[in-house]
Amino acid sequence: MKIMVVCGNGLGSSFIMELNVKKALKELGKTAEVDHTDLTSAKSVQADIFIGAADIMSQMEDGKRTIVNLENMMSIPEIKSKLEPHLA
Amino acid sequence: MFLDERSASLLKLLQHSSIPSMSEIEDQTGLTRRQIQYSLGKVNDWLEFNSYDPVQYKRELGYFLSDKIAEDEISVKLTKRSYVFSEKDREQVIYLMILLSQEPLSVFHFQSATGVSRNTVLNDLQRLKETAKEIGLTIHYSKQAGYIITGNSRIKRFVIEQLLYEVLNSSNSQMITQCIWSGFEERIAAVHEKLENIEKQLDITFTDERLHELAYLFFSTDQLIGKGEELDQDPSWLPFTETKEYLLIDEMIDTTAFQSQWSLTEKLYATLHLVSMNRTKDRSPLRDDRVFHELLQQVTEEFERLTFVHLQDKEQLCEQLYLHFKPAFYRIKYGFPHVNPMMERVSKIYPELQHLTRKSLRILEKELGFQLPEDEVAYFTIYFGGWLQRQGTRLDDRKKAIVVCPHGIGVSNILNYTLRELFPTILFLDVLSVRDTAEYPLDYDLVFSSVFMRTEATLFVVPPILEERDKQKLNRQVMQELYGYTVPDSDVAGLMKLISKYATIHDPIQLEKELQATLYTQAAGTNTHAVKEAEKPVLGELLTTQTLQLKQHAATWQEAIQLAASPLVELGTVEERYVTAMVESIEKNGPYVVITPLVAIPHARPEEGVRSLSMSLLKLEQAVDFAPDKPVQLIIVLAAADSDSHLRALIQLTNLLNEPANIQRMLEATDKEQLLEIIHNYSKEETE
Repeated sequence: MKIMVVCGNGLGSSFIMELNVKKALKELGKTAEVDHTDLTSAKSVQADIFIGAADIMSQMEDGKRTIVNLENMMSIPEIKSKLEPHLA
Repeated sequence: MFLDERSASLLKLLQHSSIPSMSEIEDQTGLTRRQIQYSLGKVNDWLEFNSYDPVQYKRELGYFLSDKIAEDEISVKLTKRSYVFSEKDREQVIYLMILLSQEPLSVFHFQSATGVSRNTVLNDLQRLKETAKEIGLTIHYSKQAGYIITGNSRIKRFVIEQLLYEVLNSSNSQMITQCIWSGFEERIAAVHEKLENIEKQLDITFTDERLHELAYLFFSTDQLIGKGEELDQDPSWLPFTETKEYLLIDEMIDTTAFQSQWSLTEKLYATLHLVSMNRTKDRSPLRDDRVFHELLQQVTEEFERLTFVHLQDKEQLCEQLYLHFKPAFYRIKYGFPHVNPMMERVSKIYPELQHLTRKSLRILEKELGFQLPEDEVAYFTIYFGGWLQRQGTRLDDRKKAIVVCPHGIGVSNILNYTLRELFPTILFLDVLSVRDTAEYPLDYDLVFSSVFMRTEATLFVVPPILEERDKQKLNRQVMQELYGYTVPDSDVAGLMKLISKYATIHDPIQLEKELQATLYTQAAGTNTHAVKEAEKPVLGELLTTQTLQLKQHAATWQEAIQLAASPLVELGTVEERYVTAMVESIEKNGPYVVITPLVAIPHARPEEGVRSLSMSLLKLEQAVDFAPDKPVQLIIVLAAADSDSHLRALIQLTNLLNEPANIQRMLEATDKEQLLEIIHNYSKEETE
């Protein structure tokens, strides 16, 4: 299982999200590979789930990718609830 | 008066032998009869101008020259006459003619001197007028006086000095001097002779070019005085009446080489030029001037200190510098122009050497109370460069480093001094602020910085004050980077001794080998770029009183970002364009930087204007909308210098923001102290 966190520049918010996704996974008792990248690179990488701010995730939508939109990137409960359905 | 190429070759033909007929000339030159008639006219003008009889025609001989023109003389004159003056040459000729001529000048004079058309001369004059105007001189024309130039007499002299230098050192100097001083050759030669006499009496030897320049300058001065162009008195020159040079000048102008009545000021003017000319040998009494000697000694010592080079035969070098500097001192002090033709080349080829020389000269400048012009600095650079070459030392082999320290001068100097001591083989160029580094003109290989910088060079992040432990670690990193190996902390021999004290060594050779290998691999593993977590700055080091702000409101989110980033722009850690980049990133990708309600972390790419890693925080009393449903009150600007040096602080920031209570407390904060307290709580541990 690979989760890719996406943001505009791949330097700030995506890293913060990565930390939070890891925390959420830990609280869910799940394991997954988590990485972060910028929007442009994200379009050419493979991952099981793409997660990021709702504003930019629309650009990732291609009908095939599994996409999770976050409203509040700091909210572990939100991340948990949105990720859980996608995790086996 | 000059000859065009075609007429010149016709003259050459005639000089060689007579030509029986016009059709023969046509055959030999390939010119039409008309062209030949025209050229013959030109040739005759030239012959007349140079006091020869014109081309003759006799039925039995054809066309011939009745005068025998000496072979070498004509070849020189032909070169001159067939030489076409460039625009610059013409300007110099015309300028000097106007400045020096004792007779009224018209366009015709310039035409015959430079051999170009009336229109070309008029254009040249127009440009000259502009050039002269820039330095406060005016070129006028009146029917009666012809072309004259008015303005400050000292400035006129300055222009003449400069023009003489240019003309005499140009490749066409002979042709130009012939235009301006034809007929005066003997008198100039006489001045030359007088100057050689002065050299003997003073026991000095001028360089050849300088002697030549002086002869023309003194002759021109005589011409100027003759036309009533005199200098105003300058009281600062008066002490020179006491010098031997002055007496010799006084004697010199009494001779027939000079025709005008020289005032005291004019004599002093000449004296000053005499003392300020470069020489190759100097045995004059002023030589005992200890002050200069000591100052130059200090300059060389400073140079050694800055470059960590030992100069051999320093006494001898000081002698040479003295020889150069004494006249330089006078010309700088009294504002005589001096062009160093090698300056540009020196600063291009040896920029570091030039830079360090300039720094070494500060002692001298401080003592003298004036700054040395770049041309003069370049001379010193040449002396030092030559000396280093002589002793086989090269600065360009050395790794060049700069020290970046945004702290106060005191701290920066301690750091600089420590690093110099620690790495004597590295050439330390300067201590700079983050801002200055971006515009630093010299090349460097290494950067020692107390902050995380964005740089192409190899970066070593160091604490501003190095403890013994830091020094050892840094030494290892630098050695590893520069030479690919490292000196172990404790030497293997020492370890062997220690081990043998407490244990029995069965195979000392193998043990030593393995110890060596282990120490080596350990050190090799410490990659300079892979900075350990512990060395990355914590949140509290980035968010400080300097970078925190509490404000009422901002009109737009763009304005809020601008405001939030302003401390970083002021500190110079980001460029103005980084602010624009952050705004553009949001315009393009949407308000994804709003990572949780009321909190935004705007940022852009390091290469979009980050100079060094930094962060700032702005708290707004009234929220500003980053998007219709995205109000923000806390704006934390992130300026990352690379992809990882900011992560430690970012983890801490994440931990802080994970607790909604913290955000609440920050929003309720009324001063920086309260904000700092929360920040510091999260600047310690790194647990996730």
